[in-house]
Amino acid sequence: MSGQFEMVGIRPLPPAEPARPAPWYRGKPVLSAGILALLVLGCLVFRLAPVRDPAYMDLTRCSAAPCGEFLFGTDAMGRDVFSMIWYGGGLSLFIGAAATALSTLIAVVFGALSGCAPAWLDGVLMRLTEILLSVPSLLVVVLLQAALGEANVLSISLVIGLTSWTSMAKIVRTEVRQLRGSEYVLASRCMGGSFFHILRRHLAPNFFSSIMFMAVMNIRSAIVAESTLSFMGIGLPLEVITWGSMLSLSEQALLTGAWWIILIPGGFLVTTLLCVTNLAGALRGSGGRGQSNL
Amino acid sequence: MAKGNTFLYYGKKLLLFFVSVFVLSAVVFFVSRLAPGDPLRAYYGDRVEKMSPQERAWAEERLGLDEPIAVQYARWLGGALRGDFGISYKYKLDVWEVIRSRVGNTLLLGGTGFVLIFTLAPLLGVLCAWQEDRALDRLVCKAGTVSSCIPEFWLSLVLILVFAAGLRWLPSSGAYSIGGGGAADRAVHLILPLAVVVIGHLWYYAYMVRNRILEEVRADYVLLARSKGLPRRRVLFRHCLRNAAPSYLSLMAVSVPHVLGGTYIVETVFSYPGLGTLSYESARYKDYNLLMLLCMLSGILVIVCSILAQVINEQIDPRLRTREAAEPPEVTER
Amino acid sequence: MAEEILLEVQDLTHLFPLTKRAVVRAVDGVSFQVRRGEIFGLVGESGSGKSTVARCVMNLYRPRGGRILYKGIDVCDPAAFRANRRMLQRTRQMIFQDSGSSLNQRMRVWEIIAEPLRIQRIAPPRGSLREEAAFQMHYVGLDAGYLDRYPPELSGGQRQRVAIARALAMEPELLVADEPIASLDVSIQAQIVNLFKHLQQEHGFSFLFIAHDLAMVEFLCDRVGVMYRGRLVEAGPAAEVFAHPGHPYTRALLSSIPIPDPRRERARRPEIFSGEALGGRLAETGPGHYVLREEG
Repeated sequence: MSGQFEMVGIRPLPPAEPARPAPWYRGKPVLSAGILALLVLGCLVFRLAPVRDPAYMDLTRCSAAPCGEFLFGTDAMGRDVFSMIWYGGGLSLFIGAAATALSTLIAVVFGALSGCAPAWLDGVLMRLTEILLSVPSLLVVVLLQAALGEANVLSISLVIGLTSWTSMAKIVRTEVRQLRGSEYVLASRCMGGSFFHILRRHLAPNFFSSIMFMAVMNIRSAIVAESTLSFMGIGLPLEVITWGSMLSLSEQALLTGAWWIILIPGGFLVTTLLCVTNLAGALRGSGGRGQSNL
Repeated sequence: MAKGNTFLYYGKKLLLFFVSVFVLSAVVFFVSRLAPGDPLRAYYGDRVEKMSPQERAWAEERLGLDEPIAVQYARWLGGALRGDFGISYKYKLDVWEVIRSRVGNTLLLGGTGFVLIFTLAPLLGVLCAWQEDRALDRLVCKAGTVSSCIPEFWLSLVLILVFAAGLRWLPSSGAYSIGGGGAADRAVHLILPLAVVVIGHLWYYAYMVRNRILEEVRADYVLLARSKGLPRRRVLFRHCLRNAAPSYLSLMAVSVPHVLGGTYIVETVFSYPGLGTLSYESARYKDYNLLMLLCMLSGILVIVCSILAQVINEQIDPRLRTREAAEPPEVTER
Repeated sequence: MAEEILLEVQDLTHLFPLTKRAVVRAVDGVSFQVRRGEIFGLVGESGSGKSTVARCVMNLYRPRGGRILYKGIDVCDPAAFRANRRMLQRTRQMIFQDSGSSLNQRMRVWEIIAEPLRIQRIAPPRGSLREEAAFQMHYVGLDAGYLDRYPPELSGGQRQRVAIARALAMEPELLVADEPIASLDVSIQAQIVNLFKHLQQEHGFSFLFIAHDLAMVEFLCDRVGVMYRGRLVEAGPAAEVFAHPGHPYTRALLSSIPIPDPRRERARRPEIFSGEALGGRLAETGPGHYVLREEG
């Protein structure tokens, strides 16, 4: 059949040879990913084979400076900071991941709902998120905590997840709104594509990248939120060891000049956050800004 | 726009404001009452535990806590409309009195921080945009990324550790020395908290300004202006900055609550007697009336700022007025 | 007039709300017919309602008034539409103006072309979906080397060929093209129009071609309809309409075509259509040639 007609008006072009691929690590946050992997691995290894019980209080060795026995010193209650770092790091990272999973889920459902809804419902939903945003989040957290009773790892993940979905929901909604009217979605509808076909083939791949960036950034802010809350004494209690609750002993540490209690957990915290931020930045992709005209 | 339309436009915004404030008050009221906890403890302190059931009932009736929540809310709303927000259980004073003694400190810290951030951010942003991708720009962006990863409370701790505990140059807490209170004394107490507030926010807004200008610089009219022979500096300041300015204004409007929210955490670390420490206390001790007023004040601030940002955006871009409601610029990364 | 009528649009009306009170009558009482195997051109300036007509025909908008009969089925009637959904979705295909946005940037070319087959769960006649896509690409003059490319890697003309291949993969009986050449360079426009003419002769589908380029319409179409401000002001055989334009708007439109001969071009006097009231109704002035006339 293909011999029955001639090609019209186009010169057949040989497909261009693909250029030599750049080294795989070009533009990728190898260092950040490596450090983060090391941290996660360290936490896991310590979980499975603890060197020393992080909760054990050696009351004869309170606030001991770093030395051979206690690599990072001990805190005001005589606990080994080195063990606590690895033990608490796992919990901090878990809370970050769990809270983000929850907030992402809420954001995608709420955003997609609002994006697909008729204009009036969309307006109501968006006003609602604005009002939710206008309640100071610190107070919401305190109140939710009170409502949920004694804080534990799951309840604090829940609280942080419940208070941090709004801005992502707004982005999902805007993306869905934009994509919904785009011509390739119309084309797919003309061909008889069902809602789920369109969602899976057309919508999801397109808002996936912007969601990924937000989600990774949410991990970051969830870790910050947990540590801030625990530090202020409205998050996890002292017995539950996370980087944040370790820092809640720092008032005393300031008086005794025990710098290791403040700087070591904080240093780990900041390093983790920095790695996560770099990963998020790489996910978003920085290229494509184009040439400046100035 | 016709005169009638302007009237209608601002009328709508006003209506939006009142509805938002009303919903906000209801949400905060019901959530705070539903949370467990004993408000009598705030009023009577530890005496609560020794009270007999009769005494408790009498105390609850006196404070109006025995009625259904809806009735309590209606009574609160009625009082609030007349400007009467009740008394603080903890301080046994009219809530306005309690707040009045603290609000000055927060405004001093937040206001100075805000002014500093929003004068330095455009300077830094323009400088970076001017030097795009050169050493200075890269340095500032890197420093910004790092500083955005440092939680405010930890930065405060490190600064206290270095400048107060280590070097003993600056006081570590409070708003003024005991007994003292001169302007110089207050200024010295302000340095560390202010540094945290400014460092915590400055980079982010400078980065936003930089990116906005970089976007602007890629427009075709810049190419035209350059090809006409206008010098770079003139194009940047005469054309690009003028176009970027309105979005900067609306960014400022939405950022007011963020900066103020940042001061709350800083206040608690530095034991700075402001609204942050007050609202933290009132939420923990169920000081309902105080909590309500504080929530309403900060909520109203947020609502006013976001409506203001909407108005600014819509005045810039008339298409937004008739189409979908304007989105204030997203403040992500917070 | 013995040919079968494939598509009949009767008194089609569609409104868009502009604000709460004001509406735009995007399409106002438009009627025309497309016969089986003919190319019907719809011309008019931007904003005259051509695209709205196309989208109503494709069931993307639900019109506020009038009927659209496709093979005798009223496609605007939800019950009738549901009953014939598969047939309607298979035999009517659409090509959009901007191929940059009508192709999903995150899909490979062969996935895009095979998408309708996948949706309709049609077994590809030539083995795999990929081979089917390769066949359709060859058919529209694209090299098989582009199978694994993404749309942004192709030129505008190549993308439009991909969109055409996607539409043809279903072997449609009616092809609706909404300004398919407007976003292309002039030289590419000619290629694509040639391709359309060629494909139409090969396949014999009916073709609703929407454009604002009169020269292309004259070259391609059997019959044309001229739209102005949501109304059909003139319709008839292409040669007839272009030779004896009946409505003042059509005359103004025709007089605005530049003539590729400097001497005659200099003598060309563009007529100006003042946009008088568009009342009245279509009256037959020649065989199959209708012009909107004032009544009385």
